[in-house]
Amino acid sequence: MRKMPMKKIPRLVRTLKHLLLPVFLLFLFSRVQAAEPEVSSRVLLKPAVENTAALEVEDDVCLECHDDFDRTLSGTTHRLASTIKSPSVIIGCVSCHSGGPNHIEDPTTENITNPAGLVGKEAFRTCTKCHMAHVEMDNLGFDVHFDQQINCAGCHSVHGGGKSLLLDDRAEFCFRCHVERRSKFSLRSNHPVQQGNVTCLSCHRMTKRQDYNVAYDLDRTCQGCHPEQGGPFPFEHEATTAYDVEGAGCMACHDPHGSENDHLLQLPAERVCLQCHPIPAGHRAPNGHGGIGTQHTCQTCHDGHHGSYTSDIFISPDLTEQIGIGLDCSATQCHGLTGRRGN
Amino acid sequence: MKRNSVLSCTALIVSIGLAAVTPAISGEGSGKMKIGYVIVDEEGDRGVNQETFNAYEGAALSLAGFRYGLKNGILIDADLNNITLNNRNLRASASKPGLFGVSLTNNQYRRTYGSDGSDFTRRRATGATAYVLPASGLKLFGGYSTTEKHGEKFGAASAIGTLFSDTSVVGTDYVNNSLNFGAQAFSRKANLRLEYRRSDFDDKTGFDRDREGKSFLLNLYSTVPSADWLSVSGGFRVRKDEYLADTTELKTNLFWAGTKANLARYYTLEYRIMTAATSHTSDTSDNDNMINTLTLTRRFPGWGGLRVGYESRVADDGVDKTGASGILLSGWFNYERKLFLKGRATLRDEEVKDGLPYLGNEEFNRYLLSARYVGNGWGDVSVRWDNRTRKFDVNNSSAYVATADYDAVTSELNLQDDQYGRAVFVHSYYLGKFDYHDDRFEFSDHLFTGTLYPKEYKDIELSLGGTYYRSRRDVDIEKFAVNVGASYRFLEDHYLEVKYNAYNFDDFLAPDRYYTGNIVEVNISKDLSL
Repeated sequence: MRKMPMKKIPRLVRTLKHLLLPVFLLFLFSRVQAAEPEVSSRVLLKPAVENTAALEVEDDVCLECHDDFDRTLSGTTHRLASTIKSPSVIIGCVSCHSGGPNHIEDPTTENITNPAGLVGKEAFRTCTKCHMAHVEMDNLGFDVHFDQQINCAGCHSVHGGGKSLLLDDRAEFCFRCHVERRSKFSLRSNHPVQQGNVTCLSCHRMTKRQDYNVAYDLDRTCQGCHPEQGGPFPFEHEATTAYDVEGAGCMACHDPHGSENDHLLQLPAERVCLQCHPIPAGHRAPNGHGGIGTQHTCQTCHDGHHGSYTSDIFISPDLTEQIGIGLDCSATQCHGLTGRRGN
Repeated sequence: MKRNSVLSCTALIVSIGLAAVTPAISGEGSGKMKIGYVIVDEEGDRGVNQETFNAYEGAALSLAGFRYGLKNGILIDADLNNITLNNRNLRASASKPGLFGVSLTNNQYRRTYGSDGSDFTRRRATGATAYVLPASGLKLFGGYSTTEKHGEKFGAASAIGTLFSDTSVVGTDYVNNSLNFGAQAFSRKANLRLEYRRSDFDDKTGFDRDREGKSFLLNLYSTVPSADWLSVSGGFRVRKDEYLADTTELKTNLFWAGTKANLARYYTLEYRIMTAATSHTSDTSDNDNMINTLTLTRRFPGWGGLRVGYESRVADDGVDKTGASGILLSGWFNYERKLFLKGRATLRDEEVKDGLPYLGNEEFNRYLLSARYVGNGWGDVSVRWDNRTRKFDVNNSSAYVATADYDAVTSELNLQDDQYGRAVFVHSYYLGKFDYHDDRFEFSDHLFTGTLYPKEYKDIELSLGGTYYRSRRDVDIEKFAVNVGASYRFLEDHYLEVKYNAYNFDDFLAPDRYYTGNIVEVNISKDLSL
């Protein structure tokens, strides 16, 4: 059923729409009351979070020596509860650094834990007191970073981390380990990762993994930004329709990181077709249809290679106009719009 | 739309400012406000140099790395880049841990075509997500996004490297709206997630290409009660896409399940199955796929691990059927967290079981080796080799065998010194050989990247970097970029920043496709300390 065209929205309404969120936020901030310095009675905790209402060592004791460390937490989700008037979660220094009482008696580095320096299960246990691990989230229970025993602190920094407490949420950070990918984004064609318009996390996710490469939903990943190629088409190109199967679909022809060729193609445009389709003899005959095949590339005529609305051999409906000849390629007795030659 | 985006960002900044001065809820935070001007000077074909497609000239206002924590526990963060230019990249969020979170994004990108850049497409992606935790162990979430693209572009036949390049212009104008919402219930040992997604593609070019898609997803993970060593996970996704002009529909049902058993000390056995059934109105694109994977891992705590695995696949479209089997071998090792070694081999053979599929028997192998050494305070060095080979029968005939062989070697050197600063040097070598019935294609690439970050000296901070790329054999491309930056600090928290970027691109097989560009950016910025 054809969709009805949208009504034209008045300009004033459109403008006001853009002011809606900032006004809402301002309202929200003003309505959240500054409570007494105790845990709000409306604390809503994830069951994974332990509400240690009584910390074995108060924060101000730690801050006597380690002053200003609370400031490194001030813009993060691990802000010390002692700095918030109505905390929803009780977090103190000793929530992560265990051994506080002993450390006060004898302040050395040996009797206090630093999660950033722990490895393997010990590091894992510190964070999973409160957080579900990636491996436990909706990602099939498999997490390649967990398998490699990479410490949470290998990617996250509690003191001073950025978005999602990542050390760096830009591609540069992932390149520290995935060094081979850095160069790919400087080839002839690439996704604009270096420019910041796309990040590694645009396609790869640490949760919601359903495939080997931590990209969510396989080919749906591509169609999220490139919906025009997404289909469905009345006439599908089988190379692109191997939905939900690794290594097929978009990746049959494109290298999503970068390529020596245009359009992120693994091979130059026409050659990518030749991987699977030998050129029919008649296409390149110098005397065939006035030698059209010697002057045009595959995609000139077959431009519906992602899928076609009009032809099962993906002939362009504007072909005659495009290549400027007098023949009507779509004539049904030849390359019919809905059939092969000669039917 | 540009004016409204600027208005929206300004209103957001003002509202944050007002919150900051309201005593009852004010807090503390930091960030950097930047205002400056970008000058772009270009010559040659604007459609060949990827790095400068989205460069605009004009006044630029940015708010970078803004983090603010209100006394009531709400956190605000924002990265608003180039608010006043058409290449703006905006992100802002507000959240209170354990209660709610909301985030907004807006990203604009231009891709230029043609020698003078007069043909281009502009993409604008705007989105919002939100979540709330109304009760213990329950999370509700949702989001909405719009992707718009309009302009004129060259078609696929314009791609460089084709035998004959056609540069006919194709118009594009569409809006794709996506909506998702769902719920997640979780406990210490289990997690259940339900989600509904919908997308509407509205083609505004006048052609009848409108589409809509809907999907429903369910994911579940849990350890087995009273058997913590055993966990199970699984889920399914039902998806339907419809082409609105006729009855064309594409449906995919995807199901997966897995189990992981932590066996005797340090051994883990994992099994996973994934099946996908796709059906199309025309019946010609129906296919069923199934993948089974079994792996056994042995960990050596503190040292590394070894893994072996077996995989089997079946693909059946009702007429043709193929089956594949593969093995996986991998290992990783670290010595005193200073030397890291990793290796992996994946081998897969696919055979035609029934029918005459277009691609016949196929062999696919992948090998990977990497090593990294972390020095005592001077940095680290790493090298990585990646090889992929593929061999398959074209037209299901062993008389026409195509091969693809790809090697990539990358080495990286990171140097750091407390006195002098930091430097990064990367070299990558790519070698590709493709051999198919009617033709061959080969490329050999060298790519060098280097960046220096000297230590700040007398309130001046410098950065210097460059990239050189050379691709030979069946392509002949040379590309380089140089970037120089300087920042002078004055009045303690103010900076005068100047950045210069130079770009050059040459395709020696198509001499007209060259590009030279110089981009200068001058900014005054101030550290915010609230």
